[in-house]
Amino acid sequence: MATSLLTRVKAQVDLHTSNRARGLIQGRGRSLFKGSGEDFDDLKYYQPGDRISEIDWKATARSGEPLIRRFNEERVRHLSVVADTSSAMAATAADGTSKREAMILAAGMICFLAQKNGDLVGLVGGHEGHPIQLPSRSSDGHLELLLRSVQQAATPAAPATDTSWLLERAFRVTSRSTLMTIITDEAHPVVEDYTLLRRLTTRHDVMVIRIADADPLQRTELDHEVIDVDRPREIASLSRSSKRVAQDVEAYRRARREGITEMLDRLHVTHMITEGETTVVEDMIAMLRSREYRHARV
Amino acid sequence: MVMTFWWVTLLLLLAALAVWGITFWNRRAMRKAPVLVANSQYLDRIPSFVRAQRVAKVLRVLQIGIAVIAVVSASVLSGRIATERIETPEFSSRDIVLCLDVSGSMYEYDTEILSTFAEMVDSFDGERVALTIFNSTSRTVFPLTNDYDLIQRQLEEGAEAIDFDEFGYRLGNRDYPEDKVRSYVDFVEGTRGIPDQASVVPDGLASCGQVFDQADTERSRSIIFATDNEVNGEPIFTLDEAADAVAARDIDLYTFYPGAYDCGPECLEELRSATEGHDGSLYESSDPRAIPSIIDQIQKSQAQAMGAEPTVVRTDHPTFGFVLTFLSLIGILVLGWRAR
Repeated sequence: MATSLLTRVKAQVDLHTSNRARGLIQGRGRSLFKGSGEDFDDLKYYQPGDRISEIDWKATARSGEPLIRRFNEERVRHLSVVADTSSAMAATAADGTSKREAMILAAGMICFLAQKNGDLVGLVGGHEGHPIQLPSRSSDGHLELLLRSVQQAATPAAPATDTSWLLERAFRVTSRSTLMTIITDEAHPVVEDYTLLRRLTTRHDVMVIRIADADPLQRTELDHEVIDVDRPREIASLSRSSKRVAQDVEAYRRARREGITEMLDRLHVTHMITEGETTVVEDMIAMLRSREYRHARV
Repeated sequence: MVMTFWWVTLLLLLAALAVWGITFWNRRAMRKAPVLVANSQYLDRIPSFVRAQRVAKVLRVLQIGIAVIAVVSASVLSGRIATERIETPEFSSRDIVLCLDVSGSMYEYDTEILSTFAEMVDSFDGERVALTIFNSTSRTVFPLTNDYDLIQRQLEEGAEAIDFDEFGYRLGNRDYPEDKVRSYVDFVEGTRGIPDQASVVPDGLASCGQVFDQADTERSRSIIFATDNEVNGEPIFTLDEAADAVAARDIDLYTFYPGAYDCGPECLEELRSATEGHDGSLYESSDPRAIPSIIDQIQKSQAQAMGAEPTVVRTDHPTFGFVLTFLSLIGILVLGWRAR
């Protein structure tokens, strides 16, 4: 009997956070997710991306700087995981592990943190022919089901990535304002999804976790063939070992990655890009922490 | 073009096919697990990648082509391509004396013999030919020589000149132009040294035997002797004595007998016993058109008698296969190094 995914994720998270981030996750009952709630916490300087409705106009008038009221979030918050369960996620991540495992770990971490705080987690995923949607729940069984659903949906046989459908779907089915974590890969969301993403950010607090793809040339692994899950074709060793090609490919990938990064920055969406299963937990902790600091005084 | 070891070629080609087949069927198993990647469609938009793919494809096609050429040429080389030539090596040391009776009854056969030999001259290589004609006396038209231009010219002219029906002309049955008569007369000049005699066959044969020179060298000597053996005169030798003299000089006698003209079967019998009594061969045919095949038979029996069994001489032609194999090996090495 395989260990439950959630247990595995917990073990991983514990392993990674044993010393470094205990405070972040467990310490003093502090909430990891700051945001809208009813308990007033403190004031902080307005930063792009913060809601204008949250500006404390009186305090702003007093200090001369735009200030925002911060609240500890409500006891029960709603989290949603928007998982890209396309075939691309069944491929190899940049560190050689499976992108799907990295995605499950990321989703599992969200579940784990949510469970700590008694928050509810829902899921949006799948594809046009077979949408997957799980309501917000917090039970172990539910979270396990969520992770299993993600694991089972992201197979090489799944259709190719369609982030615009996914974002549209996430927007439509998630009526309540949530802390939304979109888990996809380095090539997504594409720049054309800007409008959709912006619309999502109006209702949700969006985080994007991107898992980097393996180098399609695999110069050091010439013995192994390289197959694109969506477009199987043979890549000759000659092309794979050419320095020139490697440079051009690297340049293209960097440009693509930077284009998406720039778009997400412009939307003031918290985002990160991680190498794969081995780094995803640490990168997420770093991202959540920087998110924390974003709200901190400068 | 034949292949000495065609079965080696066949085996090698089959082995190559088998190797190819095995690797083809097991091509999946032989590869290591592929690396699945995603979002690599953009590769097609990178010019250097497209170029590299194209070069790789061309290289692969070249490699396959050269490998096929290498396998084929190596197996052809192993098969030893050779040309076969039927050679009768000792034939070239032949001396042939055409000894023709030019009495009126023989002209058609003489014509045929001469023109057949004229055609055969082209295939001669080292053989020497002489032509002696006789009637009451004999004349050597040309002695043993390997000047093939001369032989051919003489034989053709002789064939042309001897084609003359003397009896018919004398009886007024046949008419010939002046030139023709002259050339005939010129040709048979000296063969009627003794008046009122004709076809002194034994003396003719004996004098043919005198034509051979270089008695101390090891050569094959033969006389092709065409006569109807109708002697009208007083020969010095008997036919048997003449044949003895010929046989004593180690000359093979091939006699052609066209059939009786005036004389009865005793003429043939005498000729046969004289010829065959001295290990010669007698051929008879009343049809002048049978001459070429008879000469062919003479050639064959002579070849056999000389122990010059036509042997098959195989000459290997490895150059082409070798060069091709070598070049394709170089090609494989260069391409293999290039594709690394």
